[in-house]
Amino acid sequence: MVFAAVGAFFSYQNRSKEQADAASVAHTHRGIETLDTLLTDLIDAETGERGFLLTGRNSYLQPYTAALSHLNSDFDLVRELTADNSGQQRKLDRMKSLIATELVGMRNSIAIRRKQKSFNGPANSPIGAERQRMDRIRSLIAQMRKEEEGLLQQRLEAASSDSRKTRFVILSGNLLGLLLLGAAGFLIHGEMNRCRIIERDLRVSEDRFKGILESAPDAIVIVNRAGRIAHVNSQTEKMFGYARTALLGKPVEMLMPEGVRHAHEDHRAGYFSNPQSRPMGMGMELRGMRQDGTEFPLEISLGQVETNEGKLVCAAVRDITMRVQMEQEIKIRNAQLEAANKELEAFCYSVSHDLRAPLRSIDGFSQALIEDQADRIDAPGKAHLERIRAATRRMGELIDDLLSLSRVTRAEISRKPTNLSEMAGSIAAELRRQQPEREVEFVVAPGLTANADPRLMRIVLENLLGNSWKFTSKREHAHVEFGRTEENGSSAFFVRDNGAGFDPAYSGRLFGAFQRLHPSSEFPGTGIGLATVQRIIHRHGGKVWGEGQVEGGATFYFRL
Amino acid sequence: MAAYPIFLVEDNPDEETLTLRALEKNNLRNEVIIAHDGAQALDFFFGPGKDPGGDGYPLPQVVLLDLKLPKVDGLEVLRRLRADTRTRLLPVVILTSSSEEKDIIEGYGLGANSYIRKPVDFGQFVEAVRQLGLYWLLLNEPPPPIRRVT
Repeated sequence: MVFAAVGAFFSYQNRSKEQADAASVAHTHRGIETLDTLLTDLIDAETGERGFLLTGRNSYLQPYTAALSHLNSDFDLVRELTADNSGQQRKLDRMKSLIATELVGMRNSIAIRRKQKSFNGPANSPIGAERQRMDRIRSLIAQMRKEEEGLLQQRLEAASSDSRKTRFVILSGNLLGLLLLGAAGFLIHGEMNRCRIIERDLRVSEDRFKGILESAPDAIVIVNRAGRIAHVNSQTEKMFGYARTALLGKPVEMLMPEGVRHAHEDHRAGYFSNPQSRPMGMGMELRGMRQDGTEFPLEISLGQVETNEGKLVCAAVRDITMRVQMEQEIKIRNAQLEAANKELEAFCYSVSHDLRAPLRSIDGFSQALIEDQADRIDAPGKAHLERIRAATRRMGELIDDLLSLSRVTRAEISRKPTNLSEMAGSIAAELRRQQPEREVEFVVAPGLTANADPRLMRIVLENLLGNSWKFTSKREHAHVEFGRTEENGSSAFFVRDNGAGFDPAYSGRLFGAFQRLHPSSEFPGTGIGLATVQRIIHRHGGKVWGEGQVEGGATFYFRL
Repeated sequence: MAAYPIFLVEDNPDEETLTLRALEKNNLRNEVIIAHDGAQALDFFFGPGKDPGGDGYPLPQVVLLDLKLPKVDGLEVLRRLRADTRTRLLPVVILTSSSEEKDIIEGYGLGANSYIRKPVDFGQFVEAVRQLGLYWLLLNEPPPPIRRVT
């Protein structure tokens, strides 16, 4: 634009220059013309005079007088037109005097002739002097003309060069202008393209934004500072039962039960002054209200988003009716579970009291019979009674074992770092104390610890070590070992003995409840011990397995 | 009046017979008083006109207390015994089938002196009673009766 202005300015300047040039050229032309006119005037005057002189006819004076009437004004005009040229002015001065003299001469001649009837010829021959003067005037005029022509030439050249310059300036200016315009046009085009691209990108990003909004699994409600709903997605429409148009621009409180609306307005102001992405209303039960007036529980997370409309708060809203229902159900189930557990406990309690009492009776009175009626009962009779007693005793053991197994299942596990080495040691000592006559070599690896429930682990070790103790009872040199082994990068605890062992073919039955691989006559037991061990290890999330050989000892491994 | 070394609280007649039999086997039978339920037990100690530890109302040397009793259960009897200054120091041995931990804890918590689980095997039971008798009647020093200041 500047270029255009400058160009225009220059054009204007040059135009004026051109005008000035044209003016001065015209000026000069006129100068030359007027000089010619002057000469013509003089010649006409002369001719008129001559004619009159020769013929004495007044008609010849016409051109003379006519010329004369122009002469002064023409002369003045020349003077005017060459006023800027001192050289010309000087010549004019000379010319003036010559012309003046010439005119005087002519007047005189004419006057004389008038008086005479004929032309006598130049008496004083003023014609000669006249001729000289005229020649001088002609030469002056010629000189002046030359001068003017020279000037004209100059001026023409100047004008043409100016004009060329002007043309050049105009052209180049215009060219430049055009170029610039072109460039500007190009730039504008580029800008427009960029604009279009930006617009397109903006549209794409807006579409993406809308797409994300619509694809969100939760209802999205975007609210501006004034608490008016700025955006929603179709999940919001579905969740609350309003069409989008009914929501946009309205206060967000319309989605809440009336009772909380006022409080929410206050919270809203607070949030805007300290916005953070966070779940809303932590710990509070939030409720939303549908279009039909029904309320439902919600979960809301808040965050901010910057859009071209300024800072907005984006709420992701989830209808947690289902979740609340499920939580309720879980509560109910838990309560049921608790109740079931309590019932089980009561059952176990009852079992531990009530089942044992009759057993005691059976056993006691059988014994009483044996003792009191000894003389009236024969040997087989006594044997029967003994078997009754044995059976009841066994039943007692079974009940005890069942009770302890159920306790193990019911018990809450509280894991702590437990020193298994110490525990094994104390169990070993206890076993020794109960049967001091037995020679058993106990090897306990020191410092073995595990993160487990100590009471339950005690039961495990009591069972495993007790079994080892029991099944080595027929060995002269019983050897029982408790330690830890590394195998395939994982470690396991083990209890090993050199006792009766078991047939590996039956290892699948090892841990079955009441499953035994030996008759009770050989080794007493209910078959519940290993089942209990397995139950406990499994409750710790671990694994237990056994290896053995008939009469080749057994090793039981467990990993917690 | 004869002292009552043993006060037995037991509702089950079989159990009663067998316990007495066990006591007899250990020569302790003739010094036993029996209550068949918790109410009877409390009545023996705190019934109208009774004055436990007073003249004519000697305290037993030991109370063998079953837990599952009709009318008033064993733990309540224990609580009442411990609540009264006259019977607060009375040695009480809980003799019961249950080995449920919570019973043991509650028993000791309420101030029982001992907790014995009755074995199913009668032979073992007799042995247990023998040891009981030996300990509480012979070895243990009973608390002196609380003399009321009149």
